Amino acid sequence: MYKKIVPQIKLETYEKEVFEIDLDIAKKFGKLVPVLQELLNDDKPLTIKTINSGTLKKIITWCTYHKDDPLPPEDDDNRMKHSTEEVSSWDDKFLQEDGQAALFDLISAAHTLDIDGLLDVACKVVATMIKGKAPEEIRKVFNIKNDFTQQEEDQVRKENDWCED
Amino acid sequence: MEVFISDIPEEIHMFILSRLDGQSLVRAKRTCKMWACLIENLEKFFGIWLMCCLNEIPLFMLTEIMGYNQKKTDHKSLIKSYKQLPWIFWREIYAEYKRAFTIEWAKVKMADLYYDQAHSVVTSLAITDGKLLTGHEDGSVFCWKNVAMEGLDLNLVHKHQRRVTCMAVTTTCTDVSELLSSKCHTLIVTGSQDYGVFVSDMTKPNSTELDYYNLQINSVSCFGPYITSVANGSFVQGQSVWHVSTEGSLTVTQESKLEPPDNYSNPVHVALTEDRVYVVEEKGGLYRWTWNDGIPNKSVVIKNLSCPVKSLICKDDCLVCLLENGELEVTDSKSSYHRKWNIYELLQRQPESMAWRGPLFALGTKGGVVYMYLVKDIEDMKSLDLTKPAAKLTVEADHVNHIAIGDDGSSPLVAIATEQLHLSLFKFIK
Repeated sequence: MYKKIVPQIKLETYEKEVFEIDLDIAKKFGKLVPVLQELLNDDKPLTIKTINSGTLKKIITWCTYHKDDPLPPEDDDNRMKHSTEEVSSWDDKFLQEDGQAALFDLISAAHTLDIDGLLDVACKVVATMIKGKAPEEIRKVFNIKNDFTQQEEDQVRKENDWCED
Repeated sequence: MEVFISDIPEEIHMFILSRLDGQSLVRAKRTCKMWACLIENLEKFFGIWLMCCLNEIPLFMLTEIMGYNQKKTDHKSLIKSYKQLPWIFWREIYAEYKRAFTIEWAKVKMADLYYDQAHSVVTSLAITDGKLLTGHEDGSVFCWKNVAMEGLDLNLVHKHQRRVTCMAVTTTCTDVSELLSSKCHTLIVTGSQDYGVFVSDMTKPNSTELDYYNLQINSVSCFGPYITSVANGSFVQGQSVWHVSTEGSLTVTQESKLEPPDNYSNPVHVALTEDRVYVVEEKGGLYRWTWNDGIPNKSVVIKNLSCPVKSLICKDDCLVCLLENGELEVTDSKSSYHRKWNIYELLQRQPESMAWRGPLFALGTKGGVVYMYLVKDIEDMKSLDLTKPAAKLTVEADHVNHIAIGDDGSSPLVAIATEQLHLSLFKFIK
């Protein structure tokens, strides 16, 4: 029987688990684009030690869901620039369901693999957790230790007293 | 597993923090030293405040707060030209916009400004750069410097022969990079019953007069270095647009002459934008001229308001008209949208005057009550609920003749002129 062959590449995670990824999906990984042909010809997987299996699974699911998204416009500007589009409810739920630690792993991995769309949307989700909160609330959410002296904190507060409700 | 934010690479923090709105950014800066330092980098090297301004403030409001008349351009060249201004400028602009939303209206303080030198009521009013400008019944035009310090310094700018009927303020620069330089001049344009339009340069004391009608001037409007005015019967001579040059002595040249409409009465209000002129005539007809590659088209009637208009405000494509019959009408000339409110029915007060600057919209009513509303964009204006003002300011007077909204660098200012021989100035104290 004829079986359609989908070209795939192999990636090995931190846990030494090997994933076979469809070429269509792998194309979304900006970092891999220049070496895709090489990877297709090679049977040996590419090892990415900084990414764990859970995170890679998550990335594959995200890229599959967003397979048909239009490519973001080419821009010479840096990554600090971002789209003003809102986060979809699917993305919001998908990115938050495994907790904060997993979300930060995902952002790091999206950065490593150079997946702009995912990086943008995941950073936005974290930014939403910061929005509208007072400094003390932000510290609580992100487990941040306040390392300001009272004097320093007063100073920063004074500079920006216009923003307080 | 517990996450410690300090374990995450700095770069990732930058990506996240750069996606915050301005207000959250300031709060995040107070959480820890690491974020304070990273945010400082975003401010100084990544133009984060310009981005916050462009993302959160509608362009027409942004340029209004900047005191600059922005010509139409694409987003990329806009960012490129705006990047020429220092980052701290954008933070100030953002703060000025935002503080209107964080005012504690209960702490608003009022000061009365008495003017001994001009013993007549105020007939026109403006605020620019923390200076208050007043035109009077007896023809004098005053500039009150240091408004924040309750008008300690009063200067006579000009003396018309008769009542000052209208006033407009503009900055002359046509390139945003000149905005903070000495090339940018602030002009005050006043019209009077004495048939004259007077242009005064506030940056380099200098003035000139346009005296081309033999009738009372009803309204003046400016866009950058361009001025237009209307007077009783002025349509006979066509609608002129003038260009003011501040190089050397102040000179005014005619830029363009627009053909009058076919059937018209006296024009009473005018609004000038980059490529359009709106005129309301005394019966309530609303006309518009546009230019095509520098060539003016014939006027078109946008709408017949069927009622004389007390006051006209033009923002972008949105026209706000306060009608003599007590109605407020908003027209979006682009989408042919319009909506009407019956102010008397909603507030049980007769409206007399209005002002709109940045996100603050003010409606002055008979009995000395001024209703203040927060209007963050055109959509907000269209869905304005007049019965829910953010605040009510009260002055001891029967009439609110003129309102001007400004900012003194630390708080919004609202100046109110009544039939009384003093001005009421509201300041917002934190």
